[in-house]
Amino acid sequence: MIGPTLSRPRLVRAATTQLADALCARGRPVAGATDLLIHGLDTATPELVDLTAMSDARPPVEQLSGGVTRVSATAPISAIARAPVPIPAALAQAIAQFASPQIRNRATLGGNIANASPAADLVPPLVVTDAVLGLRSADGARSVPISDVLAGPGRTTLRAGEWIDYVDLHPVEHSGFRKLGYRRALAIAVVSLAWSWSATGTRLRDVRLAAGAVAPTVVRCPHAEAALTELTPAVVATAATAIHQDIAPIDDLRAHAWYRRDALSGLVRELAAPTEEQTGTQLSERNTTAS
Amino acid sequence: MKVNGTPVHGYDPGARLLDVLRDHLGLRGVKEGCGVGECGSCTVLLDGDPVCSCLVFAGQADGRDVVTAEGLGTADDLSPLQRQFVDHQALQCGYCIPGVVVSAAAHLAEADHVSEDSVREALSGNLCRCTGYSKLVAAVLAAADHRDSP
Amino acid sequence: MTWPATRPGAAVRSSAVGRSLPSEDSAAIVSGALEYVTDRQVDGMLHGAVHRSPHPHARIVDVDTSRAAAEPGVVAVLTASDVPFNRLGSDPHNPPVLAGDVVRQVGEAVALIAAVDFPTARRAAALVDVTYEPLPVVTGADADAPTSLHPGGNVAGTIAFESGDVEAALADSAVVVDVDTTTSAQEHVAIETPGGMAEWDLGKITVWCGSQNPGLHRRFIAQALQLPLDDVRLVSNPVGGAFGSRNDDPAPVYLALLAWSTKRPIHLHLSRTETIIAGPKRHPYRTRVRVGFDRSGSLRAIDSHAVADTGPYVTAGRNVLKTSAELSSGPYATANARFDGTVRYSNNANAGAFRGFGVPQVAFGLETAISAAAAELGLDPVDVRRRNLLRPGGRHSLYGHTVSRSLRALETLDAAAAHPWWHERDAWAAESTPGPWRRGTGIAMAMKGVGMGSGKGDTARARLIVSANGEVNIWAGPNHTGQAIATAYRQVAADTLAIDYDRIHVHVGDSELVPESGATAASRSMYAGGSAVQLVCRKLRAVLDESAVVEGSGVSFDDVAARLVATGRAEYDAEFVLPDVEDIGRIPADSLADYAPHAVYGCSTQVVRLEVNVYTGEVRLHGVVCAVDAGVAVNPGTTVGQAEGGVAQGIGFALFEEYRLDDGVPVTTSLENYLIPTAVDVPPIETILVSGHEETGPFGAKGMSEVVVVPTAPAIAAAIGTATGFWPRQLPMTPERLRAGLAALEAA
Repeated sequence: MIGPTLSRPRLVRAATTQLADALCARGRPVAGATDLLIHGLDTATPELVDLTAMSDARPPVEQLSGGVTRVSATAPISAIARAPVPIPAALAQAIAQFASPQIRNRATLGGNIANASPAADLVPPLVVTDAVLGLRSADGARSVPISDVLAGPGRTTLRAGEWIDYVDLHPVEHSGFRKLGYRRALAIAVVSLAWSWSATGTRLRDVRLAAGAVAPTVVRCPHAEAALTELTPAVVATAATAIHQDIAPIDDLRAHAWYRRDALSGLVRELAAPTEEQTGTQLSERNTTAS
Repeated sequence: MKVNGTPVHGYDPGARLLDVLRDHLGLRGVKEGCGVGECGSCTVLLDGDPVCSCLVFAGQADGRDVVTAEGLGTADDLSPLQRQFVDHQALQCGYCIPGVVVSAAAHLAEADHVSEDSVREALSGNLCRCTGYSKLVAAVLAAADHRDSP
Repeated sequence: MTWPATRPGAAVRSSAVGRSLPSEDSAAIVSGALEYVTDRQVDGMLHGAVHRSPHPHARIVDVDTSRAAAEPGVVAVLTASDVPFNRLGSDPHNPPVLAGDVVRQVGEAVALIAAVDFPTARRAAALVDVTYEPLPVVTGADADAPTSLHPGGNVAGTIAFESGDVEAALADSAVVVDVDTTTSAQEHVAIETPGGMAEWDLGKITVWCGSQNPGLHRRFIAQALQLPLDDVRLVSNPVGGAFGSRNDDPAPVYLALLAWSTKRPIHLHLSRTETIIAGPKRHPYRTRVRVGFDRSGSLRAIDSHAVADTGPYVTAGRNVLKTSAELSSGPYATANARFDGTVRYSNNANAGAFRGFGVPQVAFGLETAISAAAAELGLDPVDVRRRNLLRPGGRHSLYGHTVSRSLRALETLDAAAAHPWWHERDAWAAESTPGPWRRGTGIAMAMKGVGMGSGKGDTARARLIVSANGEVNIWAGPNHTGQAIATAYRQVAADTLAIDYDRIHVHVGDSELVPESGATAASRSMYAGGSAVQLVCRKLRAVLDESAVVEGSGVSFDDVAARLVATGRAEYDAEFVLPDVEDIGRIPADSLADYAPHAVYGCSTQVVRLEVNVYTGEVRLHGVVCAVDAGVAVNPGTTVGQAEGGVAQGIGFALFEEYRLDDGVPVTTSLENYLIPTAVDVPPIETILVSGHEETGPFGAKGMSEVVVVPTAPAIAAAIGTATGFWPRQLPMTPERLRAGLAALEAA
């Protein structure tokens, strides 16, 4: 079988240079390749620059000053989950619910961002932790907030020859992620919700909500955030309605728009009664009932 | 790369690892059931981690260790895990089983504590249409018991 | 006599039947060494690919193969005119091998390519230029279709029957429940996609390709190529799953055609997407069921009306509808029953055989109606079922024929209902935590006939040869497609012959050697094939008895074997004709085969406990109890495995699986959007093998592999209804459909 040319730069600097060169031949960067290969080698770009062989790549997770967590964008997400440095709960939960063990051993944060699916599992946690992307290209390095990179389905504001090196996550007091898929593994999100906040007593501060698969990109939900002042059923119900002003779902293969609105409201309502999905204990719970 | 401990050369780095294993090396225990990472029949270990070999470029395995079901044990000399699959009748048509065994082997190698839930999670990327999974889970749990109390 | 211990410390017993012996190929499977039909390769073989229609319905104006043929490395491009007899079967409504004048579904094969490697073959397939003139599309089994797909209209078959006076009984009933249900087109998803190899040698064709019916495929090939039957050999295993998909699969014919045309070995292995698009499906049904009860819970009448969508051609559709008719009254006894069914053509996927064969669809309607009636009567759903069950040796509600005394419907119901997951259901529901998850438990049951039914002459055969060195080889069918049937045959042989298990070798799936034994279908393999094996072994045993060969006696089998060979008494054949019903009841004698009622039925009752998220419509399964009546389980481990696999397919049918088309164009074309259950979607399954004995089966065995698929969906629906008050009528029960139902309930 005839495949594309695959170059495997061994140094970060070389990756940047080779990517610039490859551009002339319609090349592109590749890391886990879990989306690229699904869409077929026949029509794939002939020249690929693999970002997974760099010996001077950063560790999967580093703790920076100011509570910032720096996460590699080219490491497999399973390595991020296994790293000794903790990551925000929202991202950890999103990784745990991502595809399957095999895919988690290949997929990368950078790939999930650059692929720019509105249903991307890893992006809502980045949005609620005010993530900043560290980008590299032959022109140099720059930092861009996650929200500025997402442009539409399959579209980002990344420049030609630019690749995602790392993601800086800002500290949050509480965070979480809930995905609604049509089965419990290997499922694309029908809707998803990530949240973060600080709490004083029952009052919430710095509330951030991000929803997936309900708009052309993963979106922040300012109306719902404003409404979500505490976790009482009445307040949460208000936020569950308010969130409809933050989204623009469509009908597609997986769901009708009405259901996406309805189900996202459901995920917001769940915030008043933390479920096993949110705490990640559903499997052990099932085991006890089976015994 | 090394495949089942043997150094391998002369493959196209832009080919799928699956095709190199099956066609170049004749390791036909690596099955293709979907080609898009959804069925897990082509699961192999890449430096100990289970991956779908249909979603890996062969070049991405350069310098790394690849292990297939054939590398875990042979029909005449099964690994303890493979033996449990036989004894538990944890197979029917068997087409998915080499991939299942590879995922299970990775889980037993990595997990400190193995439970029904952890096994189901570890096998969640391997579709089996025959067994309903129960016997697969039982076989892996039995292998874990033997691992923990030899 | 000794047996291989299945695990260290296992008790050694003196009989093979009843032991959970692993299949002979197990070690090869777990080590990746088993070569499946699609793994087969020889030097110099060509590779095949298929050009398929992108249109659901179109006239073929022109097929230009010149660009494909000119591609370097292409050896052959075959179209309809290259097929000597271009139809798969003898009925004009059967599908063509390759479409010639008209295509009637997306994915229909138009041309076959042979090339030196697969990428070339695939590239060339895309270069076949077909000019289509689109025709109006029949998008479903509706009566108001825009066009006829065949002369005579879009009705492929009908069946109607009534016993008693259904309308009068319904009018008299205290409670009448009327449910209108729909079930989806389900894809088999055997993990090995179709394909294999074929070789042409000395005027004979050999095809290695999965088949549930090697004899039928052999006839298809001989007919298509106009060859004598003896010049066609089909070797149909090892193969990676079937579930009905390899009954009518055209892949063996494609392989034969390519090898015959090129005179070279050819390999073909279809992709998952073309398998999903072009392969058969479970027939989607709309079933309306009315049941009438008196106040005490006695069943007064069942009225079932079904419409099935068979897609563009006749394959199994008429027989599927016939099976629906027979099982439309389920395992229940009532004096008044009616079935009225139609199977219609459309430009959707060609539907064919699928495990359960027309029963899951009508049983979903019937069980849903009975559960709803129990709720309306304020009676326990188990009690309502128990008081209306068909009894062993009793008369079938619709046809009035007598059923086997081995029927264990009551025992499966009682066994499932005795499980704590059923009788502790209220306490479990009461433990629900606050929040969106509501708990519920449901129960449902089913019965399914074993074999092709009365009047069909359904037969299985076996051949046995003793070798001079004391080995016994048996060739038997039906074939193995994943259920370890050869191991079960071997167990039957060992106990019938009472000789050492290790001397016995069973071979299946090779049409050259195995006498015609019919399909691996209709839950018949263990019952029919096992009986044929038993019969052939009895012939040898009678001879051994003459020679006083008994384990432990002085006469060794080795000595006798050599003598049998020397005296020409080493070969035996036997056939087992499945018994017809003892009394055909109301069926006219001259149309017995049109209704093909069964004497022998297997039963299953299942309990499902689950939680429903009322905010989102998600369902979380906690456990399934599967009580099943298999008569005597020859290999209990295998039987339990069949039950667990059947339940998992039932879960998929209930919650996830729906092959969808948009105006005849498929939209669920990969395993990314056609979802089957993973290991974390299937809960623990507790299988209970109910004790029974079918006197006409081998050592009391009967078939069970289909009935276990049937109760799962209605049990899940009942559990959802119990948990939420919303009783689903449409499969699959997706979160969106459940939320729509719950929202309507909230609004009311």
